[in-house]
Amino acid sequence: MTTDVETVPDAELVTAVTRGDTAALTVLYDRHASVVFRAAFRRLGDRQLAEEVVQDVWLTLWDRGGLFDARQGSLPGWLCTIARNRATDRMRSLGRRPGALPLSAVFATDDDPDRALAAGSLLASGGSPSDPELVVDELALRDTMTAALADLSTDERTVLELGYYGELSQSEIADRLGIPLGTVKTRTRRALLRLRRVFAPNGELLPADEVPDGPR
Amino acid sequence: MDHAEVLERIEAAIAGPGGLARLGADASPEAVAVREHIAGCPPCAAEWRAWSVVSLGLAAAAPDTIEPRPELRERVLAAAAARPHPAASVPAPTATRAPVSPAPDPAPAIPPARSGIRIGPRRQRDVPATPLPATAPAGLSFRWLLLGAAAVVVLLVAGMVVGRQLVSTPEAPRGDPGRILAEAATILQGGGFGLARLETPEGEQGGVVVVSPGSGRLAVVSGVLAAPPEGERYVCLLDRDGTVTQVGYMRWEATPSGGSLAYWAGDAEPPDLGLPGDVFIVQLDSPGAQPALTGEFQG
Repeated sequence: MTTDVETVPDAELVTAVTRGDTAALTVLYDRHASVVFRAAFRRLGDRQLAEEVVQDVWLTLWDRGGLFDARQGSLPGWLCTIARNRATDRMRSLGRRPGALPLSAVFATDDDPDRALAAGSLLASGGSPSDPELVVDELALRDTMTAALADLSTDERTVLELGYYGELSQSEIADRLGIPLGTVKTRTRRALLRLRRVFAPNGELLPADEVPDGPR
Repeated sequence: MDHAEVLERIEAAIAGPGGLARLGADASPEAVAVREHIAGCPPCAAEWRAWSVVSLGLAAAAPDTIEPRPELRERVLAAAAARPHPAASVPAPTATRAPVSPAPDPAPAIPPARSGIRIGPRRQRDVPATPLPATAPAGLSFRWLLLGAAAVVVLLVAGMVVGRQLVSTPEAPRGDPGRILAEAATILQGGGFGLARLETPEGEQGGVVVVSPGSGRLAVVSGVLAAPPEGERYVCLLDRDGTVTQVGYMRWEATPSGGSLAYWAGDAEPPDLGLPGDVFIVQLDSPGAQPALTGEFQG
């Protein structure tokens, strides 16, 4: 019965998936797809790509769920590890896309691309980190940016969230909020400039006590 | 396209869907024009760089409320249903199916020689399998825990001259030794980790690499590597059954006392890195380089 399946532990559902049980796969999707999606999005910054990663992850679970061992960790942890790896692969493939912006074109000769990448600069082809060390920095980056976003005014934060996370164009944001397009642009620019202040010119995060103050 | 137009496009893109990544990879003539301008314009390239980190930060700070679109559910389940399930092609499954281990390659477990190692094609990232023996005796795990902890402590002490950098604080520069060592400590504290002691070609202890099968994280530290030549760096390699793949690059720092500290932490790649017999190699990333450190993961 469906209600029974929904109370079954993850490990048992995975075992069912290894036998081709689509109902179990569905329950696992409903339980964990959101957190896997967020893990991918936080690395890719692109909803479409993140959703492709989610699909990859679930097909991997479908094909090779037998590799999951509950003694080694939780299922969402396992799925998120796969998702982050797949996301990194996609970033690398984006970086190799013909016509993409080469790293060397962006970094001046007095900069060290690898150091900047390791510090969190996302630049291989316009936003594709290519160094695994970037991963180390994600938590610090997330903490800092979350704090910086929280420090924005509600108006500024709203336009950013609708645009970046909600995937709305600036015109759509204007319609949604009932404000002029110019106001959306002004708020967006002001918010971005405030966020940019948490980074040093070389792309590294500034210590909290070195972030310059600015008018709200 | 002039500077003002480029900067306007950059700022519009960063706060929009996909951020700068989409503009950086978009094949539209407009996006290509932006990229061509940036490629030849250092000031605009600097702007792109500055905004790129903001774009990355926005992605990393995605709120917990962000969800995949509802239609993805049907798409994913339909895609799964449309492909043959592995169970359909194997004999009747047992009621208590055991976790499947990756099939070993026919090549010998340990490559016969380390010289002339070439970096082979990167293995496709795949599912993190079961890299460590879950049935290992508790005493053995504890012994490795102690060995790993001791190695890290030794390196910490050796790196104390780095001083304040080794004290990991929330405000510490990212990628600093303290953060990598903290990552190593986290892996060690998690238990069930894989560990390889790294040795120099002369057999001297040279560092340690630890990997967590649960989180898929890896940390490697060494206090004996010489300064890499100008323009070169140390690369971490995995030698599995004779196939060598690249894992990551180490950062090297001189210490005020004349010593050194090399370190790196990141996702283990492949995710099951740390299987018994896996050989971890550190060497200069240059043609003909010989391993500077090697260590084998134990079962």
